[in-house]
Amino acid sequence: MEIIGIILISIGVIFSTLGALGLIRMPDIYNRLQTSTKATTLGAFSTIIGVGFMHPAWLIKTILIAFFILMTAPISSHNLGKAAHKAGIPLTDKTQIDECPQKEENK
Amino acid sequence: MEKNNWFGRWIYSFIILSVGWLLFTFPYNQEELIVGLIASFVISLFTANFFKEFGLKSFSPMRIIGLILYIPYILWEIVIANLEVAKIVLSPNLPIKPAIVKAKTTLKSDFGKMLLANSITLTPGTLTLDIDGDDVYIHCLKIEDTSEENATKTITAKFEKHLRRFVV
Repeated sequence: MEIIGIILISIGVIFSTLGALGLIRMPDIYNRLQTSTKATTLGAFSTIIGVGFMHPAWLIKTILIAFFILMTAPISSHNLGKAAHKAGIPLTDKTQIDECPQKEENK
Repeated sequence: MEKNNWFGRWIYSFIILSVGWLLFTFPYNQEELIVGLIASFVISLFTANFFKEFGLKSFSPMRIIGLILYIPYILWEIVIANLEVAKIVLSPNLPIKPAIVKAKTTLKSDFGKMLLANSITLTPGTLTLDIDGDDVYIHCLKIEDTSEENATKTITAKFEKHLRRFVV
């Protein structure tokens, strides 16, 4: 059990590091959001589950926490992306096409 | 969309809250159980009004099996996409081909669209920017063919195939 936990936490740490590296390397806000979802999904997810494997009494709770993260984490990414697009933050030059219309919302 | 009656929504809210509480306090004792059930009862009286799309029929066995089968599928997709994005981040010349593409969804309910958008955003490399009716606008980190048909086929259709087992 402990070994599984250590492996899972290591995977989480590696992917969180890669997410941070991606944040620096990517050219614009949208691509940066892409790599930051990696840190929240596999990074946080496998770290939390790994802690659950290290302490088997917490396993069910950690799975529940991971489930809540899975349900709520995309919402922040989505809203950041939507707000950036609405505010007209330019996409990088490599972008091939932008089909999302710039619309006025009066809500 | 048919409306669920208030009682069904209240039972749904109560069961979800109670199960959540039981899982959080797993090796539970009697006092915790009673306090949790009372709290669930009171809270569900208030929250039942918000669960417009849920009711007793949400607990049909087919839906629960579909949901349980969906979780390993989405986890597997996340792992695969994570490895692909990790490869892009680590390659020296950063081979990205970003684009905002439009895809169609066939899911009708708000809950189904929410699950679809969440699944797309959870998968690294794709990010849902907006949903307008049946159109989903997705920012992709790397995509070769930016036509609407290809985006529908490669991004939304594969999630919908599994999602349609338990949402409309």
